[in-house]
Amino acid sequence: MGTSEIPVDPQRVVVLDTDKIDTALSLGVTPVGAARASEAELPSYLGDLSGVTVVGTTAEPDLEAIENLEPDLILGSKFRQEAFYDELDAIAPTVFTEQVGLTWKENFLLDGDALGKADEAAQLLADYEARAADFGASLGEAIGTEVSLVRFMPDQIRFYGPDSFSGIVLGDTGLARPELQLLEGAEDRRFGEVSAEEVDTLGGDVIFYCAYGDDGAAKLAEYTGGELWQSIAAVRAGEAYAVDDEVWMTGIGVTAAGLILDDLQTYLGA
Amino acid sequence: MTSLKLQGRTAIRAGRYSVTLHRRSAAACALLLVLLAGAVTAALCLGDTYITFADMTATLTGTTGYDRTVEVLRLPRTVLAVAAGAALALGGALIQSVARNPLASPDIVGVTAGAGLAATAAVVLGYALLAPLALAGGLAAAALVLLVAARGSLSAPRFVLAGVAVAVLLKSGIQLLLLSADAIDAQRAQIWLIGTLGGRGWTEAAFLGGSLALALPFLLWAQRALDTTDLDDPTATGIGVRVTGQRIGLAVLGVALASAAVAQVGAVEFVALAAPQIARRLARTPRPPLLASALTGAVLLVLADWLGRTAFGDYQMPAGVLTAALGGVYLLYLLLTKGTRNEKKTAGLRARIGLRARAGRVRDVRPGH
Repeated sequence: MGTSEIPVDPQRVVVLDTDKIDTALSLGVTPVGAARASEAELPSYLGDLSGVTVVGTTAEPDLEAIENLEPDLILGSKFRQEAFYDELDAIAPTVFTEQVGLTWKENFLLDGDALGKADEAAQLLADYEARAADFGASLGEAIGTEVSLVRFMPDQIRFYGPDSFSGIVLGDTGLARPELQLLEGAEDRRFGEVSAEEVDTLGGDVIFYCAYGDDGAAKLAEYTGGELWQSIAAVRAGEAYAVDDEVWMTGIGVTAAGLILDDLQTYLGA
Repeated sequence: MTSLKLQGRTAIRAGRYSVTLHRRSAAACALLLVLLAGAVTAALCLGDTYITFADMTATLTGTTGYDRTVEVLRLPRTVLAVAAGAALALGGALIQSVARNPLASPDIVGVTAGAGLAATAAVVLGYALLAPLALAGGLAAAALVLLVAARGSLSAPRFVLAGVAVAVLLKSGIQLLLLSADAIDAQRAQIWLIGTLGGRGWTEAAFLGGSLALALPFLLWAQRALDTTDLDDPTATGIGVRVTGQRIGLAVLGVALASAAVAQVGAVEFVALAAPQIARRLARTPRPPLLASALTGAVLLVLADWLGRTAFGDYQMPAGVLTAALGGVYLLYLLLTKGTRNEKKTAGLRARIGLRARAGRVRDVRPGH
């Protein structure tokens, strides 16, 4: 991508990926416009976003709506909006990050820099990492607890590995993971898939599970009500917890990471 | 010189040369040109920002406050829509004429599926050269279809059947790739498979414009060649036309145009199928008229793209969704209200002469007459 002259103190920011809504709000910048995920509204865990104009979806941003907002900075993902770069950059200086998820910390720092808040971003990230490490230390022996991450998608059941967003947060605390979910040797260590007959192989002393969208929620209700799910040791021990998909999966950012730590504190803390 | 009166046609003579002009086709083209001008004006003026006609023309010729809105956000994709719609419709008209089957659009005979498979692979496996790969995929699939169909005399049913078989095979390949793909990749591939002009612009329009310019001499040849392709095989062979060679030439031209368009805007459905049929009914010709088809395709795609980006709030509906809806509804309307009557009316002079000749032969061989 080309280079952009970024304003020193951008006032009207448009964000085109879900992680960047978290980033902007974490740094105290309320974007004037934001793209939503295809099947969802803007995330609700970030509080009241009624002042933020929705500018299409992350896959197909509404260019004219963006233009009408007269932004002075646009944050997007090369991964999603590469084809729109020329149009976006004609509207306002546009900064793209390369990947989502795996590089969320680098993305946060880059976007923070673009927002003119590099120091604040570095500080927030350091605070989060310190809190994660402290939480891990506070667990004592319980740090060996194997934590399982399960997500019900409309057409599959996934477990999340060490390179996924929530997997990275777990890694920062030092909590253990079931062997299957470490995805050792896999090229893509973000997530893997199990069939409905294999949910009892997921492992883990504690399970955090969530569902993507309404169809995912229907799958969740179907499977978690089933005998096989009920036969899992962690479920029988009452150590399976439903969590917010927006926070654990689609959110991505220091605010979402902080909320994941809150959940861990609630369910695992002494 | 005896003058043969051709029904519905006006002869234009210039010295030794003469051409006949199908009056109804000319009227249809004029009407379609007006419609296209209207659609393009709407696409340039109406959107999140309302720009008056005067401001729009001033922006095109000079500098106003609307330069970016018109020249970056609206004009490139509208020009692309004109070029892609025309190329798709021409591809459809040629292939339908060769196959003598209105169902034989690039969607059916493998072009779209071939380009789709290549593009999906490019997205999922992370290759950068999506458009060239899609072009190659479309051409390769069509080549396979032609190869299979040409074993024989490239007869119409064989051509369509071969196309359907190849298309089905390729589509299963697309499904396989989509199922194994990462969610974001699958979503991008799916938008491509539906077909969209969002994020496309001058690069794509220039490529297609160049392709159309290159194709122009061949299209002029095709206009004449199609007249003999209309004949049934024995008759055409009888008057000395190399039917198979000519058909392959026409099919290759059609496939190349459709592939070029699909590579740039994605597998926009139905323009190639519906536009030639709409044009045929408007012009009341026995086979899809080339120029009117191209204009119809351009109108369809410009309207679909404009509606898609303006009519659904913040949601940017991919053009491919709307071409299917627009084209489908209009084609159904035509079929329900006018279809059969038109077809009888336009049975065509040649066909009627042919029938009479054949009837005459039948009479001749009957004893006692």
